[in-house]
Amino acid sequence: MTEQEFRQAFHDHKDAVYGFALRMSGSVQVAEDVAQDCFMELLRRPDRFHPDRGPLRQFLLGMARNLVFRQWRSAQRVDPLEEDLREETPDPIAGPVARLIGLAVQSLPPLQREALVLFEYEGFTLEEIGKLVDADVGTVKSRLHRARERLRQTLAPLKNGLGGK
Amino acid sequence: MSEEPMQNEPMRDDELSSLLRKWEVMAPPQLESRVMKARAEMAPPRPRSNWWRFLLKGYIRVPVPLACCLAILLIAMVWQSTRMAVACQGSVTGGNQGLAAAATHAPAATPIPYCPAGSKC
Repeated sequence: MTEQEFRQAFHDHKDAVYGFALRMSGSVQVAEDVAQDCFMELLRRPDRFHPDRGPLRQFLLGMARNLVFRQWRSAQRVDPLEEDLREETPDPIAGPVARLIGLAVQSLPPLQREALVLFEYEGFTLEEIGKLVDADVGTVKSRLHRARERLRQTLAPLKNGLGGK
Repeated sequence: MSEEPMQNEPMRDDELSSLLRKWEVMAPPQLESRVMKARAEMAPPRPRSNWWRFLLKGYIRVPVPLACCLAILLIAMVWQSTRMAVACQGSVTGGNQGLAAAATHAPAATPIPYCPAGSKC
């Protein structure tokens, strides 16, 4: 991969990869580490990406997903207070409403959160999410439905009528 | 949990989606410098191969035993050629005269007579 191609890939997908990692982990530090590792891995082994299997963004987000889950597993082994650690480094740019939404999203169980983030923020279809997380469409739809239900309840104070649908 | 509401739920919930989109996330500027720095550390850019540059500034590594052999060979060749040159000069000038003497007593250059074509000269 040439420097030009790498820079282009970074420019095109940095927000998606970083955003996914931040929304999943809730930590700026983890998100930066994951995003960096994703792009370094792309640089180290570009042959792992096959365009016929899907676009580059999908490949990078799949890698980011694995890294976030791996980071969770290692953090749980090392430090059982990972939840507290996550709250120490929230997104400093986020405003109060965004922060509340962020907390609500992060209160979801990881698999529901993942489905919601990929669907709502990354614009993936159910089929694409299923392919990425290695689950069938029905399972993804179920996770998404549960995530929405919980968010409607949690975010009801922010918008009238949201929970009463 | 009942499956019924899930089946009937529309794929898009615009109200919830618009609320969720208020949580915007952009990659921080330091991420780019961090990644590019890591990239530079991982793979330093290789200069393009340039033979002229190599001839001017390049170097090669030679093993010490090979370098010693080459040096001995070179010294032997220089010594041998010097000895042969002295021997040749000696035989031309009559043995005991040196190079300087040979140079002073060298015969003057004689002009070559002109021979027309077809003549026996």
